Amino acid sequence: MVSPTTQTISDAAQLKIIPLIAKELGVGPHQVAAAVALLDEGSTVPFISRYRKEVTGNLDDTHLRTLEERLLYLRELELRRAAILASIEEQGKLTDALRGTIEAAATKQTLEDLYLPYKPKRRTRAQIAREAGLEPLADGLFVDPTLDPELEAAKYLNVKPASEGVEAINVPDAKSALEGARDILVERFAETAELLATLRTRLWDQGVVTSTVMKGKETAEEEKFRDYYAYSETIRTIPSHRALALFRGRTLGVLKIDLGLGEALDAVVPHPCIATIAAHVGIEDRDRRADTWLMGVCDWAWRVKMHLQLSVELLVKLREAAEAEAIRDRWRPWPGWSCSMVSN
Amino acid sequence: MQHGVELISIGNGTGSRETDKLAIEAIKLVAGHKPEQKVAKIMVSEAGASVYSASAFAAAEFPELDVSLRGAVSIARRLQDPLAELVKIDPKAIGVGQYQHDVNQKALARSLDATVEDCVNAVGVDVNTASVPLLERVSGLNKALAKNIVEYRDANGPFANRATIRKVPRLGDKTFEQAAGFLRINGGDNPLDRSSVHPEAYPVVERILARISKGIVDIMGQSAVLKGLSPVDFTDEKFGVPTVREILTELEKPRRDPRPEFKTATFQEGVESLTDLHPGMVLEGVVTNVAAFGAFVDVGVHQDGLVHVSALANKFVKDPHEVVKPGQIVKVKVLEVDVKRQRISLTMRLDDAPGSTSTSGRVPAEVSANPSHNQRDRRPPTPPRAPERQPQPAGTMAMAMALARAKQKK
Repeated sequence: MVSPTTQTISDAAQLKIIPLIAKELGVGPHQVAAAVALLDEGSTVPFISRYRKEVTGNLDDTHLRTLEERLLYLRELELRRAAILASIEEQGKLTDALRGTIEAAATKQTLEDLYLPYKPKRRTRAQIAREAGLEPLADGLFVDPTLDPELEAAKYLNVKPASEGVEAINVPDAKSALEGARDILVERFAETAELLATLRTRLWDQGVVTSTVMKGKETAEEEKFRDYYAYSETIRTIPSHRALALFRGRTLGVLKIDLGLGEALDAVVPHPCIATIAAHVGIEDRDRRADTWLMGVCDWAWRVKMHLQLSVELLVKLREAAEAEAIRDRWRPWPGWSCSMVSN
Repeated sequence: MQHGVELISIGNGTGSRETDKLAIEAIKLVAGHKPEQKVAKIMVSEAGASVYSASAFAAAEFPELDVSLRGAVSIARRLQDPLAELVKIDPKAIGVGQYQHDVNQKALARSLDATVEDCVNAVGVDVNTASVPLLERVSGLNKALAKNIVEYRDANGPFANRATIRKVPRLGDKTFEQAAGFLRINGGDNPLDRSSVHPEAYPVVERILARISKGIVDIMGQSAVLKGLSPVDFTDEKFGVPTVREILTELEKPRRDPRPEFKTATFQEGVESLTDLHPGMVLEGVVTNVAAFGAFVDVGVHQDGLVHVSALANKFVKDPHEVVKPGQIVKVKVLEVDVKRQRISLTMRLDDAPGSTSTSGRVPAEVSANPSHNQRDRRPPTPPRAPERQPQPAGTMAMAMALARAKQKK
């Protein structure tokens, strides 16, 4: 069935996986190690559960199926971890502290968050702004909010047509210089793993999913979605069937789904998540000359970047959880081999 | 009458109740002319039958037959041996679960394949009669090996014992180890070959026989002889108490079938369509699917009714799976019938008064979450009504239906 990842992972990584699975299943590590060895040799779950009871200490097929799934996930995780470490090392940016954090990541999600700043990406707006030499402007305003944004920005105006191997630079006025500086800071904030984790937790714990009907779709055809035309429910409590209904409605272009903190909190100014970002990066609104601009950066970071990114991610999480629930075979007729039977 | 028909298998799809009536008349006719010929009829699920009849495998099995006749053969075989027949189709075609078309198809296929693999191996497969689709689900085998087994069998006749299976081309030691225990040989050289005892453990059985000075035929199925034996006396470095205990159990009851007994629901005469239903009516039905919001029940009117999660029991039910399973036979009361929207609201709390529906309310309704809701053909199997003479294997749910009775084709 599921052949656990055939690519090899290091022995050290393997040693981490076994006790973890043992803990999750509530069985002994030696049992897990024995089952993993049998699976790796090409033994099947039915064979192991029926004919290798002594070797695994009586693991039944339900245990073995879960074990097989987790083994696959954790091996993929280890492979990804190794690939990420190699990539960052190659860029010469792997510090001991970063290595430690990456080694400690327990989920694929955490790994990807940590990798975000080092991930080779398309030329981003922040990248373009850095190429236009706007990073000192961003840093300057961020470090010393007493500076006047407009005056500072005026020092960075620069327009150059594209030439051999060099992209064009287009900073004709203070407004575009400040936009570039904003993009640099926004990217930096949005790639702070710790901040991402804080906001993700908040949006998951307090998140409210709302759905509305797309204009012109309130026809009889889509009548079956009418319960979702003005619907809201906390993301953590949506049962799987409602979640799947929402996603079906969205796929069919009938529903629009949003994730927020609920009407009351979303109406607070500044939005609680914007306040969280500001507090995390150390921006305060104390009426200094750059404070309004800096708060605007936080606002932009949330509204345009992080809210979107986290909404997509958490809705995927909701969808995956709902799917897993729908797929989970709960009507497996008997646990293991202890069953009622009829003799012929 | 001419062919001595004893059992009529009726599909539960379109025209099912009409066919049922025809069968009743035919049975009356036979009873009038040939009272000694007892004929029974059973309604079976035809979930996925059309998928089978249009498949390449069905075309290879019955190149001469029209697609509709292939479907008829499949419906009859589902009664003979549901497991052997249902493995021929993709488990998804049975349509159990919620939103199966919306979920990650790779994960779904993996989960379903694992379930089918566990079911087939839990029951075991007769290597001399099994089809390629059934054999390929056996532990250690794949399509190519399953084909080789069938080709070898066709060329050399039935396997006389498990050891001969090794002669199948490309079937090596590892494959034999993985598969041998699940492949059974009935009426072969060695009675042990029809049991779930793995050939690697035959020496354990020999030790047991030596101890009690008996032959294998003297002890198989003889619980009296085996009862007094203590598993500890027969262990060695490879086979410990759990395996020896299982061997003893298997010897006591060889070829035990793990599938539960066959149960059937009786649909009420004269209740054949939505318009025949009235609030307050109490009916027997079969659970066809279970979702998070409740259970779908077939009461024989071509449209499944819904028992909302709040109407499943007198206590609070968090997860409908705790209370009902697909294939379960339940008594339900009709609460409300909406002919226009083709919706039937049912309750399993038989003292509920119609009209006081607990399903109305604030909770958004499902969006035809039951993939089978409007597609008769995709419905999970309905355990058929049993002929009274003979207890038949059970189909308590889609997969358990797949499990119902392993007897290979007679």
